[in-house]
Amino acid sequence: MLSRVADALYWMARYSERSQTNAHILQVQLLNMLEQSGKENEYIDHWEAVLDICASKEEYLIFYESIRVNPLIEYLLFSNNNSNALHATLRAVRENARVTRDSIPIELWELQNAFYLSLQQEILGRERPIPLIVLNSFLQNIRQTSLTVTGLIEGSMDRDLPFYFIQVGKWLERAEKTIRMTLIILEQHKEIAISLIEADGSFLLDLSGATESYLQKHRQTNLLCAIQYLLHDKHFPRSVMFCLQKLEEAFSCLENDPLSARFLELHTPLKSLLFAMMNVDLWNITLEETILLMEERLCQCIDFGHTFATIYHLYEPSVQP
Amino acid sequence: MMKFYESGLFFDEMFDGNQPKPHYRSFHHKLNAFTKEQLEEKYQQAHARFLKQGITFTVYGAQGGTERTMPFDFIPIIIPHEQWEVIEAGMKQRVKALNCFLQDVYHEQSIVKDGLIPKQLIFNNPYYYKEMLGVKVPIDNHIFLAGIDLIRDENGVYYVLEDNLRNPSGISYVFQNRSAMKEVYPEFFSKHTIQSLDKQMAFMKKALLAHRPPCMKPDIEPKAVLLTAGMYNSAYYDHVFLAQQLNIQLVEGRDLVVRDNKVYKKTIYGLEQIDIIYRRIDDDFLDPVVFREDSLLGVPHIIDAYKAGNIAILNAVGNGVADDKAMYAYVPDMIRYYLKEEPILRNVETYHLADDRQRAWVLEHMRELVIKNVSASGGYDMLIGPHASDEEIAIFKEKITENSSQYIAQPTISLSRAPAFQDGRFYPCHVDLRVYVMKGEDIYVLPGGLSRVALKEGSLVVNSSQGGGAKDTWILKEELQYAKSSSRCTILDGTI
Repeated sequence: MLSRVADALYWMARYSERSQTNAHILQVQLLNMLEQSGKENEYIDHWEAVLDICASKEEYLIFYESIRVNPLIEYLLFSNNNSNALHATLRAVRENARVTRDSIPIELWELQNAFYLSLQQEILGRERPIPLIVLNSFLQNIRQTSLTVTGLIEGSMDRDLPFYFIQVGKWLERAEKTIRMTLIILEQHKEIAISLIEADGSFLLDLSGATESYLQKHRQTNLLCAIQYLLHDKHFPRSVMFCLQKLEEAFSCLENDPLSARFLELHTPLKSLLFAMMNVDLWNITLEETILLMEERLCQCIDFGHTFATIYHLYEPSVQP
Repeated sequence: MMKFYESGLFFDEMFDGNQPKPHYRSFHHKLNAFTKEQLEEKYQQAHARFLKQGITFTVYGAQGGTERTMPFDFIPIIIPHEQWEVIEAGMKQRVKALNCFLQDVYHEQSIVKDGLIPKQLIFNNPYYYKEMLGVKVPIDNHIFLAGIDLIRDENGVYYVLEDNLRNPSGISYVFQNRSAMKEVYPEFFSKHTIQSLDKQMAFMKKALLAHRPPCMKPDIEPKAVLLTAGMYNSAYYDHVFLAQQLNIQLVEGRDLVVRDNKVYKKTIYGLEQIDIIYRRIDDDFLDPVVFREDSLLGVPHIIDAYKAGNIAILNAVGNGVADDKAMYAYVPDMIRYYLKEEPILRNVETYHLADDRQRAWVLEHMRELVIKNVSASGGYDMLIGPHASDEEIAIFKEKITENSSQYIAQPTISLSRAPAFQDGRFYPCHVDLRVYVMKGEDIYVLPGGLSRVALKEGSLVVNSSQGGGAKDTWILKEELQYAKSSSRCTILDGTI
């Protein structure tokens, strides 16, 4: 497979995953907001967290004076100033699909293309602010398209190189995102006097789409248990451990020979990340130590992405938003 | 009953007066069974299909280029079998002669020595590459894919309008128009036996792989790629389609690298050597070391690898010398010279403006003529005398006087017309036909081709970049011609 094509597939998967997760996060927050309008602090805190998870607060403040809902929505969904705005990530998905059209199922390209064109037509030309009900259905649409895409990939793609490059992009993006969400929530918690075990973890569970799965297994929704779940649960498909295991599986399929130099070069850092993740003992460390650990894991994940790109001669992302 | 129009003074593909021609009767009959609303709905359906599949071309100018679908018109051009046989034979003859010419001008140059074609027309041609002199191309073939444009005059006689021997585009639309027809307008196919397009690509693939580079070891299957300028190129869909159909990788210049005069592609496992490049970028952009320095699309030193015989480049480099509008006039002579045959297809009369006598006559008769820039295409830098304003005529007079060898003149031909259905009504539009010819060890003509239609009423320009659209082209099979005269078919036609 051409390096450029492999790179585009990898980034298509990453941007697709990013779009889906960000759409979910925004949808959660837009609905939460309806009940929160009175409680000023939590309201602002939550928006700040969302901003930092989906983009960057610092960058936002270059363009806007204060954190207010309408500019925030504009920034996170449509602004050309934000390379992670939904419109930008969706365009990157489509453009990467376009250059890999001969390596993916035709329906997959058609789906991404049709979705992007409908987004252009129905949303971008609309008068601002866009009514909440329209935004909500747009976000819902993104998520539903993502689900169809996942199904299409799972159900119709040959288990061959293109499939595994897509898998690597998806699971790596997801692992990074879960760690980032946890980290941002922990950092916000620094301001508050209560311990993790007393704090409420339901916002984090909502953001990571874990609420349903979590509540089937646990009764208490304190922040410590929620974080533990998001990092370590073996069965929840957004937990970091789950993603790392999926990555390991994908590499075994990409490289048939477990003794090849390429496999070892990849597997060693992945194993050490898995091991480090497993050994995070949240119960016996301070908040500051937890934050530090999360920062280290996040860097490890990012470094791992670079190693992967180097080993397979990938270019810089061929189509960046 | 649908409302059509009178064919009038033009030759109409479908009508004689207000009656459909015999080979269109059955189609016409089917058409009458639809209401305008049904046709309108089908039209929308077909349009949405092209858009969703991303079968678009990029129009330059707007920021980043805008994507448009090629407007599709569902009324096909139907060509009876015996007519097609003539076209097919004429195409093969023409491409064979053009290939002999290219082989000759880059080697012995006997046609110049024998005084058939003026020397300066070749050696001053901007597309004649001295770098290619003496370079041996695989199977002595310079033309892997040609697109030859045909028009018909007011009597229905076919003329060759233009040869495209560099990178003729649009072949994907031939296939896509047919599948759109089959999907959205299946009703029209019954009662017709037409030549299918399925399996046509097998020949193209065979022709492609026949171009083994001279230095390649025997018994190894050559590795081929399609070199595209990338997704912002106006013909990107064509490239994607061909790569898929030919089952070869679609690469960009940056995916390739030359080492020791061999060409490699950059893969996830490192470099892999390739043997055949079907390139869809122009000569000028192929190699920044040899041609345009500023080219970002090409591959440095690829021409060295080509000359060393380690890579086949299709179509061959330097074909432009044979397909410009000035050389066009000599194609009938080439056929006589190389093949010792009389041309089967006619050429449009062409006046060379570098010739003083011809120029003087042309300048007097600008209103009756079409003036074309010999190296422009896509309908640009062209004057259609009968439609031109005084100002435009003055501008072209100046252009001709300044740079006479750059222009040719041709009589205006009243281009044939065919009905189109757009915006809920039928109206006549001018059409032409691009026929695709593939050449490997043998020559093969794709049955039908791309019927292009000038959808702007009265317009003569069929190019998609200027408001042109496309139609499906049906070549009737032989059997039907016999069946048509039988009484059974006549009853089904509803004409008794």
